[in-house]
Amino acid sequence: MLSDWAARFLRPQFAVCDAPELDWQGLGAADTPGEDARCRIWLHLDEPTQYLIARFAAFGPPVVIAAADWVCETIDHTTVGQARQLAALQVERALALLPTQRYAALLATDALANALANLGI
Amino acid sequence: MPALENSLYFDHAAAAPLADGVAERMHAVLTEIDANPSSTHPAGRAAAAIIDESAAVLAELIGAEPSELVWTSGATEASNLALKGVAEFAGRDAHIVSCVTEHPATRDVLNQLARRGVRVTWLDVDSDGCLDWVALDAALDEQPTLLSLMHVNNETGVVHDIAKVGQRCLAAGVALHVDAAQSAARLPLDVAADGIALMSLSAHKMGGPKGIGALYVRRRPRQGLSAQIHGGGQQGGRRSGTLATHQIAGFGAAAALAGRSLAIQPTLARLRERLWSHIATVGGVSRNGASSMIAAPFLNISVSGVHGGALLSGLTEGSPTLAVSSGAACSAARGQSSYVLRAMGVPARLASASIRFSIGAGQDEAQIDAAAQRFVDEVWRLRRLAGPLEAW
Repeated sequence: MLSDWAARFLRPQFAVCDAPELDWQGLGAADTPGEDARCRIWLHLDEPTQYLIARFAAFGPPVVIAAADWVCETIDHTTVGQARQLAALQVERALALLPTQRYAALLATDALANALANLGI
Repeated sequence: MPALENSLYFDHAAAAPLADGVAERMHAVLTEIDANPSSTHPAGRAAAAIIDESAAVLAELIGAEPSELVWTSGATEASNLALKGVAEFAGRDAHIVSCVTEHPATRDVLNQLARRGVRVTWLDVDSDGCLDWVALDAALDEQPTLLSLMHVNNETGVVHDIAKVGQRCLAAGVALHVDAAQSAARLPLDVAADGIALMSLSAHKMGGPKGIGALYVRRRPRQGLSAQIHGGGQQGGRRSGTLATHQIAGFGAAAALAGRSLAIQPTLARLRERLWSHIATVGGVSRNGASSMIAAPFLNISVSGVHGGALLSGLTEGSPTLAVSSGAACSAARGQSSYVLRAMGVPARLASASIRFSIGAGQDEAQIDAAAQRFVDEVWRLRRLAGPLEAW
């Protein structure tokens, strides 16, 4: 039986490589050199609805890819204000991360925070 | 071995599937032989006869006498007995020479002995994983108590020229211990011709059961060795404990098929090259170890542009499952990049993204091609997930 994060690692749904061509207005980056992990999150703000579209790219252990995917799924089609509320603890709980895997939640939420900051609003 | 559904098994260096007839032989012995082989009554003698039969087969495989074998729980215990036994027997003057790419069963034991005051000298390897002969000669000139080397490296498959090493040890008057866990039934072995004093053997790498191994201990000239497990005095006091008759019978049954295993090595080498030629098409893949010096079942590669942990998980948890190892099974369990590859000068990131394929009996071109395609697909998947290079 695969864990939540392992299943998500094998079948992520929000990778930027699978996304349609969009005008990405915000790109956020975060790295964790000690774990050799990197996360990038792209945001597109749909003007009429004011909803975000979020996609990721990630290099690192499986849990990094899973955390980035979960963050993008969670904020996809939410507002900027709602996305700003997302905390690393929610990622940890949702994916049942072990203490040694918490860095992946921080990595994804840091990348998100930077992407939101780069949206320019 | 009953195949797991949707699984490709390429981890024969970790454990080979049971060879033909081994399980049946073990079952028969387990259910029909009740007595303790140390007992002197007829039932005990029947159990002892089974052990003698296995010892004769295994001894013939390595060019030894049956009485020169000590049964152990595996090659790790055999190497523990060899190294600790020789060091204890030698006392304060013990000096053991080994190589930085040895299996943890040697490396960790020698580090432990060093903490107890035993002098240990480590030999380096070059970028192909091969020994520096000048450094080896210099080490032998110091008249160490023992030189301990593996025959075939468990991660890369690089073969040390044990015959050549053995001749140098004979000339220098230095005892040689060989960890043959990965070479028995894959390469010819002859302890007498090669001047080997001690040899560690494992059953489950050659189609026998897990939990049984042996240490060859030369009788003439006598190799000094202090026992490390006491109580009962079995095996001439060299290793106490009731012998596992069915396990030894299984080891013997596998050893009896060693000729068949040796005969298929050229086929395995051809399949290995086919695997490599397919895998190389993905780009950014490098082969670890000198290809001309690698035992037939092994292919160790490093992959750029993917994380080692992600690659291993993707291969072993995705579908179809590709059962491979990241470096050695032992170091993979510790979550470390391979010290063997780092000793060969492979950069840490590439060393952590290394995969060991090991093939064996029963595999064919179709399985090779399926494994190669699965690997290529996973590397591409992870590289795509890592996103466009300009984002980094």
